[in-house]
Amino acid sequence: MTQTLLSVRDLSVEFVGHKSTVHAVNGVNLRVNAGEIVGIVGESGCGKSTAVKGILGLLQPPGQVTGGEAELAGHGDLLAMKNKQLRRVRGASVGYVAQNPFGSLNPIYSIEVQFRNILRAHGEPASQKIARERARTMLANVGIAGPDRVLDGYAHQLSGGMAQRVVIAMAMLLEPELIIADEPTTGLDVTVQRQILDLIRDRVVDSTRGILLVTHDLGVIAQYCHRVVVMYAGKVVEAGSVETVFGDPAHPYTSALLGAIPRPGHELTRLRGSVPDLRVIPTECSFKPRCDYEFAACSVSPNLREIAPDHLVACHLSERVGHGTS
Amino acid sequence: MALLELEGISKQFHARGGKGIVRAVNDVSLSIDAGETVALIGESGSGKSTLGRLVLRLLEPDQGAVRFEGIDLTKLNTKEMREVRARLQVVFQEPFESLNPRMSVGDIVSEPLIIHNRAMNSSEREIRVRETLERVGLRPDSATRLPGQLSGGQQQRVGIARAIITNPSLIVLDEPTSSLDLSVRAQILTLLADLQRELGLAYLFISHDISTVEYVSQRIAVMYLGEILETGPVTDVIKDPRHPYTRALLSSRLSTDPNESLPRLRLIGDIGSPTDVREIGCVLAPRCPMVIDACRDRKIELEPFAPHHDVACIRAAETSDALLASSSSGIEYN
Amino acid sequence: MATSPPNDSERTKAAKPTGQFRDFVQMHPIAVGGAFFIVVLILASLFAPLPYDPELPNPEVGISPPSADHWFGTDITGADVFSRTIAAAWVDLSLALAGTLLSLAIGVPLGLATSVKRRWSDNLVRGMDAFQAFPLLILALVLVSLSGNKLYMVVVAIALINIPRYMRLIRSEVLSLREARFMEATTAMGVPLPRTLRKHVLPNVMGIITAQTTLTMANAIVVIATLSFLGIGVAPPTPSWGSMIRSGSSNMISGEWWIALFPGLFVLICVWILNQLSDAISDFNTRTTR
Ligand SMILES: Nc1ncnc2c1ncn2[C@@H]1O[C@H](COP(=O)(O)OP(=O)(O)OP(=O)(O)O)[C@@H](O)[C@H]1O
Ligand SMILES: Nc1ncnc2c1ncn2[C@@H]1O[C@H](COP(=O)(O)OP(=O)(O)OP(=O)(O)O)[C@@H](O)[C@H]1O
Ligand code: SF4
Ligand SMILES: [Mg+2]
Ligand SMILES: [Mg+2]
Repeated sequence: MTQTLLSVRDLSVEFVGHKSTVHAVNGVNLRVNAGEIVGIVGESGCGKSTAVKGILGLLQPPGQVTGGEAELAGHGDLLAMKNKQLRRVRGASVGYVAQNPFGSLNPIYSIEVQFRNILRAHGEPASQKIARERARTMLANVGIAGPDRVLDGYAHQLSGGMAQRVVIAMAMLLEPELIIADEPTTGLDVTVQRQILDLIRDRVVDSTRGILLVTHDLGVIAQYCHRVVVMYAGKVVEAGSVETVFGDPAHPYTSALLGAIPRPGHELTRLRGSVPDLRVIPTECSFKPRCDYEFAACSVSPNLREIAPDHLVACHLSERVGHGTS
Repeated sequence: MALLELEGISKQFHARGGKGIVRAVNDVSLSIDAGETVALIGESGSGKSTLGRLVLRLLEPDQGAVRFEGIDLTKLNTKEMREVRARLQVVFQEPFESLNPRMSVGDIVSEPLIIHNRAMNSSEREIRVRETLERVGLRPDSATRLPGQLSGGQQQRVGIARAIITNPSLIVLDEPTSSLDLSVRAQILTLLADLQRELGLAYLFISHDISTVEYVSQRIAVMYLGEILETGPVTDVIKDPRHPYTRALLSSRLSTDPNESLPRLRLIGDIGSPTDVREIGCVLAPRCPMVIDACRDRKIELEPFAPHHDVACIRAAETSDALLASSSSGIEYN
Repeated sequence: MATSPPNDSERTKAAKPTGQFRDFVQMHPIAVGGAFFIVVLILASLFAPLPYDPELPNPEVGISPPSADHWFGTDITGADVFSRTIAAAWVDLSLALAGTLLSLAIGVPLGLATSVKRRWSDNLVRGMDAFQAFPLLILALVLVSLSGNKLYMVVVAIALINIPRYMRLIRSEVLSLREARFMEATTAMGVPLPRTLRKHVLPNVMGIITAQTTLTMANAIVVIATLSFLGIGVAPPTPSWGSMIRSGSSNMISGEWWIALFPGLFVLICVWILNQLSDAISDFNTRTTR
């Protein structure tokens, strides 16, 4: 039986402004099992980072979680935790790799000191020597050839790829069961990207660990993830195994995204319009204005339904007999 | 005659904040025919943008000639160069940063006309601007907007409108879609392809995304540490890369088909620093799994391997996945 | 074949200047109210019938505290403090404005020039730095008193103090602007230098110039007040806030606070308003382009 590491139910996040409120995440459900890499994809602004930060209690005001739960195996609901407890879980049980690596490195401390601080914050009072040894091992694990040089250096001396690897090493330092990585490779060269992804994957395969990987690169999902969650306008529109979702997409948005990948000899699908304004809660399907298949039923927002084992879709089309968008 | 011909151009910089010199572009030759798309691919820091700037004469080459329509641009004075700029345009990666935030879209798009089509009066200009905006898929009434009021995709359309309004024959596209979302990227790529077909434009398409390059270009040039290592028709190069670097680069691409896994080749070590490029010998030698002594002894020139397909590797004929993989086995990560 | 229809979402916002002004008023009502106050003050000082002749001593009344007849009281000569304070507004503010405009007129082109032509400008900038290290108020003092208290020298002194500031500001702004991607696009288009300066550089430094100008005004008001407090520049009986504070200061101890307090308050209010305005302009400036 597969063990569920993280189970998020009905997560909602709002950014409350004085003139309007942005409903950035609206009832998101997702699950990460042990030994699994789960990808979240979607266009920019669809709420991927916000959802992840919501789960980890890292939202800055005016952002606030307005509902839902995030059950972490063995720890209970993250969203119900007190700050102090949450801080202990973060790092020790859940590692977080933020979207911008330099944002999570402190420019004024050497890399070594930052590793030591993590250990200290989690009550692992290691001697300076042991701490350095652990940091070195971790850096070597993420494929950094000269870990000593990196440890003695500062953030600004690192290239983007190196900084990203350092941040990943930090996230993995305390061997957390779950790693949440927000676009860990966006903006990096393909060669570096693959090294980092390989490294992340090696931590999970045949283990009790799991990874939640945010990206908007469909190639990353196809090659590295077991399951995928497709988000659109703050909602999950399709979820399931990568083979199923990529091989037989049931939501028109997923099909459109897949069709927008440039392939020689193929016309590119032109997805009309752009992501909707998240300040208004739509009553209709939020993809309707851009959808080629919309019909009468679409004026009511569809719910996420299981159309096959482990294949969830939020689209009225799938309720019709002989569904399909291709 | 080729539309653009680069002949042995080089550009060096003083390293930023450090010592030493950066050989950003080193003895590069390349040509582009009218109506053709040539893609320039390579990892970050390989000198792609620098090469683009040399073509546009936003930078002066230290050596070599940039011949556009048969004229060596490096010999022209500012005024003569201005004349040429109407037919030689550019679109940058950052859609917002490349537009003046305080100028309306209409003013931005009409500016090249004001400079290059002096005879045009303002109402003719206005008509032309409207046509061009519609041509790139923007509503004519967006002319009154400021760039900050448009989405990223629309901003990039404005950049494209500005580039095509003077009927150029060559546009340097420096990663025009890299900062855009997948769906918007598809729209912009389609637009660029349509414009090329209708207006007979030639593109120098700089990118690091192989699937984009494969989709848009006819020819491809692979850059590494300031040098072109392989160039040829896109299908030939991608199907059968002869340079070990090209092969490694292509093998790191991620297929979007979950059932297809491409063979994976790794080079030894990290991308070298452009400050310590060797004087002689192959630039890839320190990382190349196929390296032999001869690679380090002399300068490795780009030489014809097949018709129109040039490779800068003395073992080009032998290159194969097996050879690369076998010699790199046992090598540490990366 | 035609390309896809206009299809990315569009955010709407007022782009016209009138709309921008309305936005500014809505966002910064205090600053706008303050600016309005200063304008009214200047107009009143120029055109409004004052209750008494500000320069006319009235020995019969002598010194008297604020009353229904004399709202701000009277000074030792019996002149009406209210009338003098209002009349001084034009004297002080016009000098400040003239000084500011002169520094603008010289400082901005100089800043532009030094940012375009780098070679000789580095020396000029270094020279200006050395000049700024000099205690400028003393320089102003010396200049004005040597000229025999000519008012235009007050204007020149203010300009001398502020020209290097403008120059530095514009220069550093333009130098960072030159790195902007759209400036590179400008070069690629072949836009000639004068047009580049006019259409691309100036509009993008305008906001910062305006913000700095209001600060310069505030600074000039203080300099003028200081000079006339020291008895230089505007000389009595012509009313000026500085000289009024000076003549009133000796009465402070004896309890006749109103003579110095009211002009002092006006200096304070004007400086405060101009600072508010400067903040508001910088804030608005960064917001309108995003
Ligand atoms: N501080 C904030 N105040 C108001 N709205 C916000 C704030 N932060 C984010 N948002 C909005 O929330 C939505 C989701 O943003 P989020 O950063 O989660 O998107 P994302 O899917 O991670 O996009 P990307 O791919 O660009 O990282 C967006 O519409 C964004 O405009
Ligand atoms: N003005 C400059 N001064 C100093 N070094 C520079 C300058 N411009 C570029 N370089 C250096 O030249 C090399 C090539 O840079 P270039 O921007 O051409 O690379 P690129 O291939 O376009 O990379 P990317 O994919 O990151 O855009 C880099 O090492 C860069 O740091
Ligand atoms: S020339 Fe030698 S070192 Fe260079 S790529 Fe070919 S085999 Fe490798
Ligand atoms: Mg994000
Ligand atoms: Mg570049």
